[in-house]
Amino acid sequence: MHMQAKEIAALGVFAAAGAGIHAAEALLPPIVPIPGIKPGLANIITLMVLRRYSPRAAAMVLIVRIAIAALLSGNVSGLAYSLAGGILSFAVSAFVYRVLGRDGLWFAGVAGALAHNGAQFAIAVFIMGKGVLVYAPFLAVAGCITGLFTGLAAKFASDKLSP
Amino acid sequence: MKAKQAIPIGITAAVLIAGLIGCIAVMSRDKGSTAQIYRENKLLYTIDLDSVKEPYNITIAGDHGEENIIRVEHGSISMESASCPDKLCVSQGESHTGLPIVCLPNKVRIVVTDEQEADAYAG
Repeated sequence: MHMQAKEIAALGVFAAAGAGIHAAEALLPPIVPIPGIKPGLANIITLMVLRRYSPRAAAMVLIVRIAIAALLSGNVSGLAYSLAGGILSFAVSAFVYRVLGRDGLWFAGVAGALAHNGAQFAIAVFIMGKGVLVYAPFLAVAGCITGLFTGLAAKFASDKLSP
Repeated sequence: MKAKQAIPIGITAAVLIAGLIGCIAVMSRDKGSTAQIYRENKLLYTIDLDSVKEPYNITIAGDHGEENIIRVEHGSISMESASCPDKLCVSQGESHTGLPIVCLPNKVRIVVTDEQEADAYAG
């Protein structure tokens, strides 16, 4: 449970960067007019912390980031959904990373994005009924693309980061 | 190391290809002319879009002040305005892709199908 001051400071910077990306992304107009599809760029930060530090550190950065972003964007009502999706997605990413190691960081991004979309979709089906099932393939494709992007971005950014 | 990458690449490619095939299948379905408006998964309106002569609006009000205004015209239906923050349903425009127009925050859904499918949904 003991953390170095240096590590705490670094995690604070990562959390701030993530919150900034998260809030900025919320300001962008939707890329495709389909509910639930977003780039999830802040996940790059979570994946970078997962690789550089530990799953525990990444989980802390994730929770702090989501809380700050909710306050920044003023959308506190969405906080519970955001946290649920974020934590589930992170659990899947952390598991994949544990199994595959460093070379699997990109796939941790893909698996996390698919888990996030899957969870959102499950809630949508629960609320709206099976009529929204036709959205499933669109969410699957979007999860692959955004997950690949964030996963690879995290990999390349981590490679450039000084040790 | 190469072998270890093969499985994740395979899974990603499989999901991507299956998803793309699914998207094409959904978008290439025959477009019907029967619009159904649901709120909280309950059917509120069934409209034959081909028999609409004068355009009109339908207002769907929720229990907590939510409001969706739906524009009905000859052969088309769209979300005119919504009280939700993201307005995704408004930017979805007309339902021409076979995808339902969905307003998740207000739990409103518009589906355009043909008659037979409409019966299947109701059943």
